[in-house]
Amino acid sequence: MNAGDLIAAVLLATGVSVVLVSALGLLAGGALFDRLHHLTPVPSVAVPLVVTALALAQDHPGRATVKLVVIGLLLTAAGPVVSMATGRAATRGPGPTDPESR
Amino acid sequence: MMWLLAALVLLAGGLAPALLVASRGGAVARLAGLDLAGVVTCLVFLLLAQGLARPSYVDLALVLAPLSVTGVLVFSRLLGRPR
Repeated sequence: MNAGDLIAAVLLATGVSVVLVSALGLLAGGALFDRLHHLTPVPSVAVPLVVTALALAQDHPGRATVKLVVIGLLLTAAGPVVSMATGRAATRGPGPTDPESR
Repeated sequence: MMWLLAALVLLAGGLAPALLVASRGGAVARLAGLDLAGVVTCLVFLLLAQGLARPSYVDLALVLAPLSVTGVLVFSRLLGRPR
């Protein structure tokens, strides 16, 4: 195992650990805003770590690496937007299409 | 092997709790589980592509990433009360 593989393994293990901790926090329950706090590290921390590990593991960097980076950037950029939209929906209360309001 | 193991761990420890959260509670509260499920599924596809040496699986993640984000945004828009 060379240095690149070792770095990729460490990044992968860290990223997967972040997802596991976040999922456990999400399972622990609490208010929606607490859940959103537990959710934030996944797109912001875990996705860049795992994508970097995968990019390091590519034998022939090229189009595949570009795809990985595009996916990583998309998920990382969209994470806060999605959390904000979910929090906003919770703040406004159930709308006319929400089953709870019927 | 390392990649497949990571995908398995994410399936059991990431996707399963996300689906559990997405299947109980209020409608808006379920969105948190749906959001996590989308991101974890993308990561699982990427890890499977590497572990199984099937680069075409990356395209699934490439399609799923914008679709899952758009799906959660649409749900949050429809479930929240309009101004």
